[in-house]
Amino acid sequence: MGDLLKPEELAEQTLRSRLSRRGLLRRAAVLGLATPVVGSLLAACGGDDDEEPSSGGSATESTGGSEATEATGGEATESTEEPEATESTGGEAEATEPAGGGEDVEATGEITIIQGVDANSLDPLLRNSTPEFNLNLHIYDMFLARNPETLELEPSIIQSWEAVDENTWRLEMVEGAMFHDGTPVDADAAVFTFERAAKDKVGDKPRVQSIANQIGFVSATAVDAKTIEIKTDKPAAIFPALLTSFEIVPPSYFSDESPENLAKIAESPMGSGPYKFVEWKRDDHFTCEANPDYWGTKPTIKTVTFRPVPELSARVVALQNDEAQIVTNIAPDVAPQIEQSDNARISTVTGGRIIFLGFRCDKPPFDDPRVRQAVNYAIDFESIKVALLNGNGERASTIINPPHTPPDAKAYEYDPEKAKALLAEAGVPEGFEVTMDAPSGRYIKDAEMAQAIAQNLEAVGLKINLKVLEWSVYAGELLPSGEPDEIHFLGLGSPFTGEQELFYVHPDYSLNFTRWNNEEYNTLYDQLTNSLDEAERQDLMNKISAIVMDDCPWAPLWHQVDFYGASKKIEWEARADERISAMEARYTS
Amino acid sequence: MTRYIIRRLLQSILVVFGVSVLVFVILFQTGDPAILMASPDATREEVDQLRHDLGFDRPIYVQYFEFASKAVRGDFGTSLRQGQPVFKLIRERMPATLKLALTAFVLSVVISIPVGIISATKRNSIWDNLVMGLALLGQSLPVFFLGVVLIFVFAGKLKWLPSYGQGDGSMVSTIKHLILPSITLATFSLARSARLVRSSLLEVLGLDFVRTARSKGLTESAVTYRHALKNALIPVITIFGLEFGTLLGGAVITETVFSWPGIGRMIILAIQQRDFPVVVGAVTVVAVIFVFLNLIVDLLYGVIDPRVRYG
Repeated sequence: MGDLLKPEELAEQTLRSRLSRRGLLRRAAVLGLATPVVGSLLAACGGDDDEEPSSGGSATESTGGSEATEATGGEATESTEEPEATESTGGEAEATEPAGGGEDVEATGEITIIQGVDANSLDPLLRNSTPEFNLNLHIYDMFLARNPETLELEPSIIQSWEAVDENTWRLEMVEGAMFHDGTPVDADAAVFTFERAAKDKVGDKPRVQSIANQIGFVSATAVDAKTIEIKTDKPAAIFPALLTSFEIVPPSYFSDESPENLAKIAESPMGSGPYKFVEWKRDDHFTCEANPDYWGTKPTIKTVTFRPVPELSARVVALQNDEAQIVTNIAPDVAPQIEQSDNARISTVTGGRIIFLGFRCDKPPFDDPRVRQAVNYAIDFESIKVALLNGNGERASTIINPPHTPPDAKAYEYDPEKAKALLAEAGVPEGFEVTMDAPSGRYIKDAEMAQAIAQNLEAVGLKINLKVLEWSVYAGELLPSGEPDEIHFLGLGSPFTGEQELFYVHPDYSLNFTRWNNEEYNTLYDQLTNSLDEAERQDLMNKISAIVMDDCPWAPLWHQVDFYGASKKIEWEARADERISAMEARYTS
Repeated sequence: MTRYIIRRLLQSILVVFGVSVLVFVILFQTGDPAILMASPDATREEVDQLRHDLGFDRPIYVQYFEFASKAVRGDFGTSLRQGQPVFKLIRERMPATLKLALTAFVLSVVISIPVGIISATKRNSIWDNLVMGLALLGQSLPVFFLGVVLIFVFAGKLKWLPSYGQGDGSMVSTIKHLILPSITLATFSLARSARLVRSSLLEVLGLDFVRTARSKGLTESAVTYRHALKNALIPVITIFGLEFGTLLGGAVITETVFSWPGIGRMIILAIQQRDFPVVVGAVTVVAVIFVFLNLIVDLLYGVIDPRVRYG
């Protein structure tokens, strides 16, 4: 966990006022209760997940496509937190805390947040992109929240959670929360929300949100007015983490499943969140206003407006002219220009998105693991970093995000001689022709990076036929065909559960085109999904990660650094999970 | 005349039908939306199920027939991504597109005709060379580049105008927000029309009836405006008609650069997200408008030029 700090670090942070006293107590509680886990995690994290105050890459942004497709192609990082399944105690420790700050300051002022694209649907079961999620974050409460800095699970509508047995979770809800129409946020609403999510369809539309599938949902029962029990057909350690991306909805508004009402739900959201919906004009603006009756910490900014602006230069100008206070997807090349302006600054964070090359393990020469290793050794990431990423980022040492990064994870070193030797050993003749697919305009410097790698691979004796495709063709045509070429360049916005990151190389995963099938991996992964014991899980993740790195269906490249623009008038920092909430912004003057 | 109109209307229906078939086929060639719509963590099985639920595993002609039979009744289906009726989405976007297209169109007409006339009547003067040089530039500048430059200069450096969106709905705000996108959108058609007015007028000015008019002792301005211009404008009107159709449906880049919530931007996003009903519906509507405008232009011919007879 990113924020699992040593006691002395905690004390130091408190002194530097980065942590509130409450935060200190909470973390100390978690530390105390989860000590066996902490040691390895501390070593694993080592502060590596801190933001790097730098820039890298290039303008991959142009039209609305970028984020529009981000929503798609399995890219959205509606990331979730690490499973605290066995740390039900952690949940309980936090339960004693009121979630609300209780300070009654009247909300004033306004903030405009610009994203690259607009939402499609705000129905919690139909949305699937980060920009949509960010709107919902204001109108709805998620069952659980996360600490903006550390991404640690925090109580929200759910105040405590525990695994009663392998297949049962008990959730205690907050007192006094109300939906915007005045109906209570209670166990019945929670049960309704789960049951709605378990249906295959929303009206006649197949739902997108998949929490029910992910946990093997069986039933939800109200134990009393504020307690519910969720039964699953398998141990679901990632359940609490998934609750951070799951909105509780009012039955009063959502029960009517007529097409008219569903269309209304999709564009006039109503939940129990800190902001009330005011207006949404598609592709123009989405406005919400502070909910004065909010049960938790009261919002301090009165009006929040989201605007979709696909053009990077228009976003930058809007930020510099103070027409917007937070702006997403700033191209690293533009970052210095913003840093020099009077009004604006840059906020960067190493995100959860891993960029990698996938190998077709069913096709020669990549059916031989030595060839896959050879490619891993042949990649000169340091040069790429200097030439293309302005010195940002690190070669990925594992496919698992913090906080579950294995302690002994080690990236492949650049060693062209070893690569050549491995190719020779595998009997790959000099000049063997391999096709490599890469998207253009989706990830930071994607096409350029692919070109550089192609040169690296040519240097060790492969002949690379590089096929660069525009992202919408890549995601809309090549990937759905299920038959990308021997090497394919891709990025996946990883959650922060470890288990889900490892699923990306699982034979059942829809965006895994490698055809990699490793018995040992399969067995261990099954064990992982069936375990609720945190220490055992970490151990399994370490082992699986080692297999994935060694037998390498991928050549992991790097975890992408995200760039945001923010006004100097506000305190706000980018989050690794790409969430943007006005609740985390404060005007300094 | 009536027979002509009926024949043209029938042709128009054929054209719209052809467009919708073409869009359908092309879209299907570029992959189905299931994988893009599925949850990021979806298994293959879930994606297949989604594809089946959405009906995208059926033969293309079955899907087309379903679309077409509803479309003729004015039902373009429901957006896959937005869950709203496509027709409603088009209707919501139409005012913004109309606003921008009309402004750009007026700009284009109001500027290109006098500029073209002056250029033609003062042929080879410095003025003519300057204007035609600028027109050439206007035609060769890529729209996105011009848009970004305008944003950079007028919104970024000078801070005179907003960089995106259509404002809060008030008159002043609307005008301010319209200036940059409408200039961007108008530039290409303005430049083309000015060149066309010039060449058309020059051509007419060399014809016999103009010589006759001059030899009657008419003033040069009477010759130009009363006799030559009327004839010179016939091809220009055709271009204007088509231009307006293009401005309506083709402001894709301008609308994207300036975050203008119109039809063009909706179509682009829908293509990127493989929102088939929206793409097919919107393109069909744009095609209908285009064909209709074309028809109007053809009919206008008869009004302007009595030599044109419909049979």
